[in-house]
Amino acid sequence: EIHIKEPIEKEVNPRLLPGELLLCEASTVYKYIQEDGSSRGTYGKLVCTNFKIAFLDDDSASDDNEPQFKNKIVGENDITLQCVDQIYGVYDEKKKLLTGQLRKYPETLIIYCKDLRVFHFCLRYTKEEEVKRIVSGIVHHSQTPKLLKRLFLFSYASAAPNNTDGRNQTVMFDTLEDWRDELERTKGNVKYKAVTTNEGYRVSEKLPLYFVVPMCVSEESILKYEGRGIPIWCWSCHNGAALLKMSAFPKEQDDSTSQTHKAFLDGIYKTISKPPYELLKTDDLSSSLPSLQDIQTAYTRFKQLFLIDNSTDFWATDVKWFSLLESTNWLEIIRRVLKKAIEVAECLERQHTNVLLIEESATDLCCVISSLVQVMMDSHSRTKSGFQSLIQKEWVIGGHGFLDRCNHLHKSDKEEAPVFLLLLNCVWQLVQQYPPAFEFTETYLTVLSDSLYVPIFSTFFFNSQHQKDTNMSGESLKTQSGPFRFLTVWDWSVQFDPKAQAFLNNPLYAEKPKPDKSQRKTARFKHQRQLSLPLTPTKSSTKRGFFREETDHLIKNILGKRIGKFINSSDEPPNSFREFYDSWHSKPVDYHGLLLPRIDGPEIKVWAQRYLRWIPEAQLHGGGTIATAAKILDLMEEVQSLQVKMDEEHSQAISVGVHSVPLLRNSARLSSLFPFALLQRQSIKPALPTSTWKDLEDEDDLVKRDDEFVDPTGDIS
Amino acid sequence: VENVRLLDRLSSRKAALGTLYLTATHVIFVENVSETRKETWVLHSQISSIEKQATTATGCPLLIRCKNFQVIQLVIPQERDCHDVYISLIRLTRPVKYEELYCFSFNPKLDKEEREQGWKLVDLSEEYNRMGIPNNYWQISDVNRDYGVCDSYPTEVYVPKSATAHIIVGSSKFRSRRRFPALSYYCKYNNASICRSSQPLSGFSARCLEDEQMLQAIRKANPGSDFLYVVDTRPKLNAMANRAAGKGYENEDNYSNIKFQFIGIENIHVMRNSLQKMLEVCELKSPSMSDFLWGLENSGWLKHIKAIMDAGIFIAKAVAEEGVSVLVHCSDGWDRTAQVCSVASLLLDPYYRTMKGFMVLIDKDWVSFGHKFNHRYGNLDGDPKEISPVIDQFIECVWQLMEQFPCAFEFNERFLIHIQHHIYSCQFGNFLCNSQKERRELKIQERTYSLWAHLWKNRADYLNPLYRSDHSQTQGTLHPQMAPCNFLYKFWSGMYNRFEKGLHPRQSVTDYLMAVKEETQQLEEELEVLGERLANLQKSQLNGNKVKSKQQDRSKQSGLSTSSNSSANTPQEYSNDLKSFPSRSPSQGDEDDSALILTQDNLKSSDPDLSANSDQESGVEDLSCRSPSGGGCLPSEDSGKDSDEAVYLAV
Repeated sequence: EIHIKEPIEKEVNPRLLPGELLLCEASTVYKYIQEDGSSRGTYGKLVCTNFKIAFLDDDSASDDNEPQFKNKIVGENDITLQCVDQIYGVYDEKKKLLTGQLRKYPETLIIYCKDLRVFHFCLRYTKEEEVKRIVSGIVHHSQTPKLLKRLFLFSYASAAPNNTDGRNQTVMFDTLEDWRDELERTKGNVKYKAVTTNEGYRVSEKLPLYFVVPMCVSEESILKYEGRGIPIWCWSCHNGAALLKMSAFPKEQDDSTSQTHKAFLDGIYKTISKPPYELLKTDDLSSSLPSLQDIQTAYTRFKQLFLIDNSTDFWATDVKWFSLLESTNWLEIIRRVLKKAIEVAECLERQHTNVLLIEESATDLCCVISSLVQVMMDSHSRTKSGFQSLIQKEWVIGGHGFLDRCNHLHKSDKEEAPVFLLLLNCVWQLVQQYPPAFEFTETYLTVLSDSLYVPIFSTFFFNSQHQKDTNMSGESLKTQSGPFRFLTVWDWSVQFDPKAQAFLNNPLYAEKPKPDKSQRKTARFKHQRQLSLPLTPTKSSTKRGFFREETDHLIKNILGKRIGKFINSSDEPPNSFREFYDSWHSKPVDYHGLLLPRIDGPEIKVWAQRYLRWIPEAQLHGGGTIATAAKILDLMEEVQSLQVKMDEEHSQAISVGVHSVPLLRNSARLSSLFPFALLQRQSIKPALPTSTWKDLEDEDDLVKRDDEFVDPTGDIS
Repeated sequence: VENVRLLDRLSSRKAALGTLYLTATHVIFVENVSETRKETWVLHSQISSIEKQATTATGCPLLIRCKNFQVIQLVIPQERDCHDVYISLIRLTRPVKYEELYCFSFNPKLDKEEREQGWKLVDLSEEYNRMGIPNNYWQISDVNRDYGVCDSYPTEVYVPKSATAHIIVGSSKFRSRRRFPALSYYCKYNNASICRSSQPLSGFSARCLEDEQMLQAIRKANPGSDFLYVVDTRPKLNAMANRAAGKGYENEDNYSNIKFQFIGIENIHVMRNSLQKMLEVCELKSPSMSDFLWGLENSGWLKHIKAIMDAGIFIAKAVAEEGVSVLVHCSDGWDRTAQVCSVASLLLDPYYRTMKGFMVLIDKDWVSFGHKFNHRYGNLDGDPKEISPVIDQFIECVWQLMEQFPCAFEFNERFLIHIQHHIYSCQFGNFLCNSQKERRELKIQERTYSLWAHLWKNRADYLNPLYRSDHSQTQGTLHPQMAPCNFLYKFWSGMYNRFEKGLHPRQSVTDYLMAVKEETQQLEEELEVLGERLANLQKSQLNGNKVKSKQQDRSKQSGLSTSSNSSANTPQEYSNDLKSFPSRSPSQGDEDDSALILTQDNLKSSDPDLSANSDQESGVEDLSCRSPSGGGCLPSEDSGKDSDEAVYLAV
């Protein structure tokens, strides 16, 4: 029986965002701290708004020690409606999934979140009426289909004070200039052009307003099949080879239609594989990568391993952890995707050919592969603004159906697939293998993955640019004036104050030294000194790269005069990939050059920060990677103070752009789950858990075994 | 043998052509490529198995597996040569006498005194003094002075004061191989202790009064607690099976105030097979996710590691939190007991997490208490069933702890790997033989060198840059989670795949920090040099002009204001000197240099290629400078940088 502490009657009101409406509430709800068999917890009020489900602790008033890392929008006990994964009710010790209409109301409500938190709310002490209201309210608002316009995004945008979108460095790719700049940056502007054909969405509602195609592709052909069969430019490699994507024609029953499609495609291929274009290689991702269903199934199984009801179950998984992990297939999918990205990089970098990714819509796996290739090959994409621009280019403007894939509106479960999460998981593998190469940290990726479910940003809540544009203009007459002004997720100050934002930056990242230009020279030196970090010999590697490029050109000029032939990737000898991979890995890493992930089994790991962060059993006090991070931050601080001293001494008072370094005071005993750990808890553990795995072994076998090897010769040495 | 090809396991294409040499101590392979002459050296004592495979068109393949998990695949063109190599290697890798081992011929060119100094680096009686012993409760006993009671124990044994010689001898007769309970670790803050012994010869009902008194004495030596934990590290079934052979475990009814606890650590045979299975996974060419995960799970290796850790955690908790003394045993008390006692000590006492302390710990719990190094690691040709990776598991436990608490240890992964290497290498005398008695008989200390001195000399290489002795995390007891093993316990590819350079993450954050540290040191040195030069300049200036000194101070503070100040009566050339000097050094030259120095350091430190290092350790120092990666992989640009730097320094 639970120790009932007399709940203090106190009016606790939820903190509401502009446009947020309180829908229903229930008091005297008992929230278990963690379902670890014990029934410790706190009383409070459970509320449901049009934005979130929130638990308001009755005695939360005296919260002196503000956590160092706090989300300003979504608190520790807040669950946005889009973040709710599944809701279960407990009836007489039995768990039942709650969807739609309810006849009976449960004693305990278990909410599984998409960010892997698990909440247990006990409703036994709540008035029956309130239980009815809150449970049906929560289920209704978070689990049933809703209209796009009912997303909190819209009420927030119309109610919030006109937020000045402090245009940060992220390139949004919603203007023609952005595309032209990108072409110029990658030196793709010789052979590719940004087109305005889709203005007014004349071509297709799925395509962005502006995009880039090969010079030789005519406007008529773009218009002909609503943009299908048209190679769309993603990125150009330093050697001129380009990464392209194309949405394929749907399988046609009609023979003549498919004949014309084929003829059209052949024509396109012919034009774009003629010089000055490089040889072309196509890769149909729908056949060479797992399907979206496979990905969804794998992820569903995988996340289940971390959504833990109680610690007993958790201990039970230990015995067969690796096989459980394996059976989800999620890590294998990550491995295959990374491998595919390396293959593409090899074609671009070494074989010097264009790669055309083909997919039905060109907005799912195409986005994953093209983004990964760019992260691997373009060091600009490994900076924060570069990565954000990349997400804008390939995903947000590129037309990835976030709304459908995340199932934000609960329209159709069939469309759901964690494609974007797959990308983040793959990028995480790279980040943990080569931390100094990235300007952002794994915390950044974790926070980004959480932002998928925060409906105050427009970034992840539309299927396409067209959908956003049409819904943005306040076409409903009720709204007062003008179009909605949505926030972008890239404005991190909305969610985090500067102190917390510092955790998103990697202190060990050294910026790419700018090419030698006399006026830049001093700045460059300063920079190096400020970071005071070892740089890999970039100088030598660029030289090497240059040389290689030269020879490649030479070889190509000799061999490749003829018209490039269209090769299918299946003909490719598998060895060239392996050779490329091996030879790259046998050289020292240039953190500003090409980066290839290791893809052997032991190197693919579970993204512990994202998946284990709420599990107290996985917590280490004073240990884990955060201990290293804390040390590094200490060091950074020291370096900076020394820097200041040095400047003072030399009166060269040229102020250096001081990054704010998060101060981790008392870092010695930080939990390894920092910055995500909830309150420090003691969880009750079995004294000797070794017995659990013992049970599984065949006991007969054990008995037969003689413990000691008895040496007949007797080693009484 | 000429024209031998060395195959790279990972990329089958690049087979290196070279010459194979067999010496009395090493297998040496020298590549034919003229500019690098890359050499691979393998000590005979490291070789665990040689396999001759079926002859192919290209030649006769020979597979050499090493105890440090290196696998070498050679192809020898002539069948006959291959056979010769095979036969001689078989003989060379299975020495029958200790005198054949490398440590007796290894000579690092140290004189006698240095050698003695080296052996004195770790002194166990000093260590017991550090723990606060002898004291009111514990004393040193000379009962075993001529190994009269127990031949696998050291001569100096620490026992409770109340345990008389009669009790000790009586107890020893009731313990397997006469290994009576003796002190391993003592916690001076609460008097709790860790003692170790072998299993009692209790059978189904036998009792021994002296043994019961002995345990009583241990309990009473900790007045703060009214009971004693007796930890049997074996699985219960194994212990029960032993009862039939007249051995077994303590009966709680016969001993007063003990709490008995089994901890299921498997025996050496299970561990050997488990390692074998895991190594098979390691040898897969490019393991897929499922190969790796299934293989790892089926090998059970991490499960065993966790069992050892759990036992250590249990004991550390009993001692630190409950203040209860613990008696640990397994069967003979020299394998699992050593593992568990040393893990517990490591958790309890921050001293053992320093470099020196770790050496002491190994000497205390492993070497002195008669861990059978010779049998377990197959130094001499012996029974293959005696071989088992017992200390390897302990070393891995330490590594797992280092992964969990990256700032708590003074030493780094390389330190562990080098210790593991030398346990098998027989290059130093520390780990020879099965007991202290045998080592004394062989006069090991007079005839061989100590590894600890060697490691201590190179301690800069083994420092963990994240460690700070004054930091609170480095003090006190470590509290690792007993969490499910799969979350925290990882596959140690740095150990088991250490020779597959291709499989390594190239530069960890720690390496990075090492580089930063070295850079700092370089800068400090530079600062010193510059300071000296400044002082010199000042001196010369003072000589020249007295008015100078004031102006100098000012110019030091602000390089820019020099010109205005110098308008007084300064000879032009001095002020020029001054002006250029302070402003230039920090902003340009210095910067340039540090970056350049670093690139080289980087290459050096981020190249933990042990095959290269092992050469240097092999003591053949003359050759080591030509060894594989010592200089081979430096890009040619570096020479340019070198001269840059030299030019600057010479300015």
